[in-house]
Amino acid sequence: MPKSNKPGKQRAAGAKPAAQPSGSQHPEGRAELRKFFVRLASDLELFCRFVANPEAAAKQAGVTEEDRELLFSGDQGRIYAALRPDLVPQMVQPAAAANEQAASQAACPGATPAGCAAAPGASPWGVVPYGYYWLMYYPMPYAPPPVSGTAQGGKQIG
Amino acid sequence: MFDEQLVVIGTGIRTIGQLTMESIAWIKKADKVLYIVSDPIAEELIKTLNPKGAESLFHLYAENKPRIQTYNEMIEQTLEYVRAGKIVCLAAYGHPGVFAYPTHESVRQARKEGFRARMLPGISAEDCLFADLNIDPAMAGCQSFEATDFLVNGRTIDPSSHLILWQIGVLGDATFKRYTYDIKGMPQLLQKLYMYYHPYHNVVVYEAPLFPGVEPVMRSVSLCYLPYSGVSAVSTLYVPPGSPPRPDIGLIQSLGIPFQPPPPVKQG
Repeated sequence: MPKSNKPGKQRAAGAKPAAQPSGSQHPEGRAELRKFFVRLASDLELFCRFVANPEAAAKQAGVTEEDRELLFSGDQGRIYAALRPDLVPQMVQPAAAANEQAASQAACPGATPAGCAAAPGASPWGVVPYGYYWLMYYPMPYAPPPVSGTAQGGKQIG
Repeated sequence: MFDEQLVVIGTGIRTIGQLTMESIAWIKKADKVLYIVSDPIAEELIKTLNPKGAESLFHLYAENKPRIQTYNEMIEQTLEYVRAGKIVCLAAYGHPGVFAYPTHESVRQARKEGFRARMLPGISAEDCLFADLNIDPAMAGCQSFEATDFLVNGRTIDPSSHLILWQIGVLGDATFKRYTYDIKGMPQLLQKLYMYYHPYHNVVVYEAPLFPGVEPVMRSVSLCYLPYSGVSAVSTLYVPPGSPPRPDIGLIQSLGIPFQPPPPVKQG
């Protein structure tokens, strides 16, 4: 059971999104960095060199100093913003704003332990940011099975 | 061999290093590569490896549109190309068969219609979770549920085993949201978990990283503070065992297994 809270350099809840790097002003984002990433994902030899010595492999592959700084920043929000600036306003910025809003709602609901009073009419659960993936699964509510069926045999009503 | 008309692949959570060679080969071979990936590297990779055949399915998502409708449209679009005689590769992030409805259904439907279809395994968020949180599902067993399903379908759990709840950030919401989800089912989820665990039982909010050099999100919080732990739409909740196992002494003796008392459960 891990004891440490180790979010690395990912954006913490409520934090403002990292400033976008200069390359992300271009609608295509950092095309050269994207190309390097694509090679890294599909060229085993390059990937082996990268694992052995990330700095040297990136430099040798022609990644600029600015891109290398981003690449080794460990900041997922910044890297994402640089690669897909067109999606940033939709995914990163509102998420941060929503987190700030959620964090500002201090009331605890009835489901929390005694001592926390629920705020009438408030939705302290707030909203959560979209995140970086598109969901691909939908939970199926099942009607009770007729007599001896299982959940699989039940009728889907959702 | 390798004569499938539909192959479903996974690009992993972190495409760099997690995309298999076989998947790359199918991306190159296919006439059509339909993809459901939001990782910009995976998308760029697919477009680079198969510039003529790459086609995103993202446009099928829409604000407040029921996700099940989007998934059914994805299945139909996939099958349309298969029926047209194309070799189709359907690429999804993670493992294409883990928490992925359109991928499984596409394979089922294609086979039902007489086409050769196969799914290749990939690396799922759960695989990343096991590695990052350093837990083995064999130790104590592991139960894994989609959070809304866990809530609405009356699932029961054994608190002496590991518990993984997926999609806690979209609890009770069956639609797609471009910006944020309202986790309206969180109070009910906590009420249910309190039936098995102490409110101050430590849990971990987990998110696997997309890029090399980025650390995973692993927020360790008391269960009662879960709503304030920075959950996102793709957060996975890991709940460690909250009580010791209940060994059957008689059975242990009859099987001749050397008996050891169960290890104490580490609380909080």
